[in-house]
Amino acid sequence: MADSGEAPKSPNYGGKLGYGIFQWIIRILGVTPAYLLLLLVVPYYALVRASARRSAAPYLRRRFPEYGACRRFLAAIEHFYRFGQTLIDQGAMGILGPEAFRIEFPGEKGLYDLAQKRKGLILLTSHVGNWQTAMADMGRLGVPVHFQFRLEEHTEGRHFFDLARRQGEFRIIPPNGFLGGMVETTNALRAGECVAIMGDRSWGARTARADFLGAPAAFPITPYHLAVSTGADLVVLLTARTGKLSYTLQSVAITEGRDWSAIPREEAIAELLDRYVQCLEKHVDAHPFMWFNFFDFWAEEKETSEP
Amino acid sequence: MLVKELKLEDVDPAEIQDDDPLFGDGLGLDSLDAVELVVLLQKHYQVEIKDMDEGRAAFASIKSLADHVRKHREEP
Repeated sequence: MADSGEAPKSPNYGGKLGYGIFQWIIRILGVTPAYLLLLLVVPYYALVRASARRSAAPYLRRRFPEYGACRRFLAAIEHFYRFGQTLIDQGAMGILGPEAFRIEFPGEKGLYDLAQKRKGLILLTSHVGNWQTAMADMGRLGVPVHFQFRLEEHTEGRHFFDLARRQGEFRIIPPNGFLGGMVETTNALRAGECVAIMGDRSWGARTARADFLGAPAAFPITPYHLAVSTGADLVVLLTARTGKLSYTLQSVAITEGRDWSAIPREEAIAELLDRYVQCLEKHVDAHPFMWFNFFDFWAEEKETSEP
Repeated sequence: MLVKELKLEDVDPAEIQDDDPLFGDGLGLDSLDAVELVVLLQKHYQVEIKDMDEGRAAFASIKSLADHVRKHREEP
């Protein structure tokens, strides 16, 4: 297991003016005109911004190995469009409120029951679909919810947390704080509370490599270490856009069915990471354009972006 | 206890100085070891590290950790 080094650097998507225009359109005209404007913006990124194409290429090459350059270019356009739609939806989540969304969550009762066991609950989110949608539903778990999140990294893009002023419902634990926020995170889990953590960002913490889409990629081991050390349940949360302001939310309790304290720690962490990566692979198999890590996810040292 | 529970295979307990830092230089612990420390302190001594500020002071060195445990175990 390795230390992934420096915390990721966050680029700026679209700039203040771009976000301002989209926010204005969502407020005044609604989301449909914003999606239409996106149709004009996306070709610019795909045709003019070589850096944007490069950022999408590592994933598209692995997800669509059979594609030639032309089909991959078209796939990049769709990928950017789906990402833009998600950013618009994040803005709409903040501006219009979660009640404007239709969120299907078949596993909600099971997740609520797990939270009510009060043995600690780790929600493993990822940069697929719209994790803000997933978090919007977590206020109903009936336990305090904490979120490991680098708020300052999300400048113009942090719609969900600042536009809707929803921070009162969630306590942010900055992963770049003292000891990666592990004191607060451990205390919260020991108190039977819920902590949401990104499964695909290490923020300088230890990582392990696991095969994802046919090649090893580095994933943080913090969530699995926390689950094994504190005895908390670990649930993978994945979202996918199913239509206009409409999302489906899937939860998989990957700690179920085994006593993780009875097996060697390293083995437990590797097995749990493997279960998470399997969930991720199934998700990108079903929703190929909902993967929003625009950097070489398989590189030794990741240059990451923060949608 | 630290060497055994945190599996610090390269560390000889006899060589640890009271003022050695726990994290970074010194024992070389990292954020995941902090998870273990918080759990161990609760399990063995029923002592909590309440927040980041308390953690920063308690986790500064072996001595400060020992002082923290001593102080909070004495509290009613």
